[in-house]
Amino acid sequence: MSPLFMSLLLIATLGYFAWSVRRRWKLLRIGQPEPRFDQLGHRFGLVLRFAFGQARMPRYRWSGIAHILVFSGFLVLLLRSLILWGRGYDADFNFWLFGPDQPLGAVYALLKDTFVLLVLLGVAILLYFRLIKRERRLTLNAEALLILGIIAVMMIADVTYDAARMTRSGEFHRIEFAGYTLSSMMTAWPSSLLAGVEHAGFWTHSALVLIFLNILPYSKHFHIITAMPNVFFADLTPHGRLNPIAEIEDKVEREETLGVAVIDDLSWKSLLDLYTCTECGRCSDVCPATHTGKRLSPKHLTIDLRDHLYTRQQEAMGLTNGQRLEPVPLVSEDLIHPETLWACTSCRACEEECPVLISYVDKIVDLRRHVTMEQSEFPEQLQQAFQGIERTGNPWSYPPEDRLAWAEGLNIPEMSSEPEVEYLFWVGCAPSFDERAKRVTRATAQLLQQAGITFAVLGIEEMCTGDAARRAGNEFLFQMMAQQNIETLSEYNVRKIITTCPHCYNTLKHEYPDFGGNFEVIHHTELLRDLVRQGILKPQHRAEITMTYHDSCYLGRYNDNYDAPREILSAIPGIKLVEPAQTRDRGMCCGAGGAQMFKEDEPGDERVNLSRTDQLLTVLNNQPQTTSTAIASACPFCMRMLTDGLASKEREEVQQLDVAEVLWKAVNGNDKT
Amino acid sequence: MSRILIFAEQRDGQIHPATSQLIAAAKTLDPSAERHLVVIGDDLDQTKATLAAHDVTRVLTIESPDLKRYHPRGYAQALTTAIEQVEPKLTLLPATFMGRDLAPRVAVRAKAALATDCTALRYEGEALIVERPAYMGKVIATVALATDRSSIVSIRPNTFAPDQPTGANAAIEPLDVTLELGSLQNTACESTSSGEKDLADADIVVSGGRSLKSEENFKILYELAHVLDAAVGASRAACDAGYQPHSQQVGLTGKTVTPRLYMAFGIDGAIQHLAGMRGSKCIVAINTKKEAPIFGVAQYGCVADLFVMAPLLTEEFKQVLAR
Repeated sequence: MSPLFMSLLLIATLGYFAWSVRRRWKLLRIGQPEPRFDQLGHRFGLVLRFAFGQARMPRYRWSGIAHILVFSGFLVLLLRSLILWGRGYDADFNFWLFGPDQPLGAVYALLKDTFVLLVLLGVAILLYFRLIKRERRLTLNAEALLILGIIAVMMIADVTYDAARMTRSGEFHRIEFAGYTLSSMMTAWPSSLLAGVEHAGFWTHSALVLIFLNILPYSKHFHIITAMPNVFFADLTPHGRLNPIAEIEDKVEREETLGVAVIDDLSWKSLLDLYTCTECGRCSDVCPATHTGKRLSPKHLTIDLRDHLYTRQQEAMGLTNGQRLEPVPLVSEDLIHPETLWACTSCRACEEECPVLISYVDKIVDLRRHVTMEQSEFPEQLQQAFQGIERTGNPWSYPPEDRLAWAEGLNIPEMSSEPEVEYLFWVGCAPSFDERAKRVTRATAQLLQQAGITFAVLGIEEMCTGDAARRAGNEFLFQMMAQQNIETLSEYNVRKIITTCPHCYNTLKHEYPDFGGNFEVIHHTELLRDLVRQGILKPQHRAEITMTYHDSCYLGRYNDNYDAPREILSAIPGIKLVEPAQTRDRGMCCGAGGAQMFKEDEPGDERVNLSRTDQLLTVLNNQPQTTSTAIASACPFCMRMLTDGLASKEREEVQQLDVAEVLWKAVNGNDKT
Repeated sequence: MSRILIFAEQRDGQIHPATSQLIAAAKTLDPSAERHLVVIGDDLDQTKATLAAHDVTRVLTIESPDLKRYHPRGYAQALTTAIEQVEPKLTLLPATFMGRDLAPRVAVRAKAALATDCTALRYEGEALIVERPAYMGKVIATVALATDRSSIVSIRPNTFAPDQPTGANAAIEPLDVTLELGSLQNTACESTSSGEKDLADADIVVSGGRSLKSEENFKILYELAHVLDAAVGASRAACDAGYQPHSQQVGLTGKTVTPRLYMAFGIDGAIQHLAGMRGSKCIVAINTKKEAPIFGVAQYGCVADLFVMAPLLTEEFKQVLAR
């Protein structure tokens, strides 16, 4: 076409793009080191599954399909763009193999035209969600429309170019069916017009791709470049594990920052997360805090951090090795509002949803770590819980000697007198002290006794695992508890632990290994499920009851245990198990996670637990009102939240039961524990 | 003869009840020592006369418009001046909010040995030995104060029975102090109390839950509270429902109270609530639900309708207490 013009175009656009990317690269390098080059096979697998496979896209069906169409179209048309750039130099350039008369060329032409139309369809769907249906999770902005517009124009230009070229040369290729169809309209056009249209189509496509490329580093569409590395470098450790602050005491002595205070305290991978956010809003759509009108919206948290990061671009360019940016605190009323920070329930719904595996909970906890440990700026209500954990080993400050009060009359052995047992029953604080949860503890312990499982408890030697303290940013206190508990557990040479509390479960299983505590940790629903399967526990008494099961985040999303509780309930004759609309990995948090149990909700429209109770009541309300109804759960925190929720909604005729209690009644025919 | 200086806390001319307890403490510790009172404030004519009626050597007064309300720096300078003047072996303060703030400031200025929030004190030879509860009373630390300097001790209120005024007429002596208040100013003092008894101070708390069903119905608890000179508390559910302001909430995320008597009306006793009142000396629970967890911590429980019980109790207490 015009080698000179094509060369100028390529040099200018690719040059500018290289300049932009170099700046972003430099900005990324202000992040702290984080090793992410292990398990390469696993990492490539993630790229195949989440990037090329678009595995999470269809969780939102139509926009997911639309994205898959556009994404696939991009992959297909990448070759086309290269060919067109080549044709800038040689009008018949076809990469030697892709000429219209060659077999590969024919296949490609068919594929390309098919995807041109599919991409247009995808763009139409995406525009529909922005302009007509106006999904709440999306923020309508000019950039999105510009990008969608560019994509659409590129597709149309491509086909127009083909049509004009075919008409002008008289060489029609039916296999380029889109261009061929369009060309039928052009037969009567004068050749000068055809030449103009051909050129316009050609240059529009060739140039728009390059302009598009140059918009990317400055927009949310940067994900087109960063998504694959972001998925590749994802955190491969268990979902429920937070990164420990290593050598925390030494850090304090050296006066180093604990947690994240300023933007360049984040790791380079966290900064890459920020680059990669596409503002699809799925995270906020499922966030319990956003849902109940709190200040936190994970999408906006990411955007706010990114906007701040980008304002530091110029400053970052001037840094030499080892230099840091001028410190600007991230947590402040202008940037990340404290209410945003403290509204998170650590439920991981956002992380389960993000198509490009961006993490949120670790960032929020890192920000909390700084304000909690270095500034003492945490919700004052948490002070009570911290103090209780530190002084009495439980957040409610019960005397430690009351830890075994639940076991009255049950003949529960303690490790100190019977260390030769198969399991350690890790009771946990709420199940030891909360009157309601104590009944669950009793039911579980007696079911284990009936099944002939040998177990013992730590009694007065057991202390809070530190889960809530850790998630409130008090890593000091958490590590203190972890060390003490691991010491105790190691003294008794504990191998297998069973617990009814998903928070203890997660911490013991995924976080204690970082401190040298390696145990096989089993949730009571898992062991009870096995005992029912093996026929050792026989749920023989009918229960005429309609029941819905509320998923605990720390059991479900954190540990992929969705089925054990359901299998137990389903094994009980008479129980009709119904699922709420928000269930399993989409189940909404009860509102207690992430230390929320020990504080009040941040300001908003509604408490999370009331909102969740409503969701669960909705499915029960839709059932015929002939049987009694119940909400089952498998976590003492959820139980507390839902029980309060039912009381507030004045729906106390709906029972709130732990799976173990339901099983106890089905096995024994009474609920006397 | 050794001297003990006693800080007499007052606000708006009202002498804090801990003051007479400190006088008693001084008498118990060393009956032979001179007892000097110091009172700091403004416009204290009435106050110092009341103080002078106690069995003390003299009452020092430091008055200035700048000291009308508590000022950390001003009060510290004033009390330090008094210590320099009196040269006591021991200075006693109450471990109130004011005393807790003031004692360490003065200790540094006067280069004195300091022990705070003590529940017992005695001499063993020359050494002053005090006891301090720690870890929420789980352990008692016994501390010996250095003998080469004067001592400052703050004493937990209600540890000693109050000293009764003898009608004596101790000397009242004004003391001049040069104040350097710096940029710190006390410009306003707003009281958030509604005229009702404050939860944190109350000996008796009458508390209600969701079952009260309305703000209006809380009236029956206020009536009982008035008869008992009690404060009214509420569960989180009751506060959420708007029956009471959140400032009245008792629990882990509300106020922690440890009154002599806690009466829970229609409160089930979720663990979050129990965490805020479990330390009460005596808990009485009235609830229609027999299995309510509150009965697990209550010394006295009554499975009954609170709307019947509360008015009955109000009437009965009126009779018994003749109020």
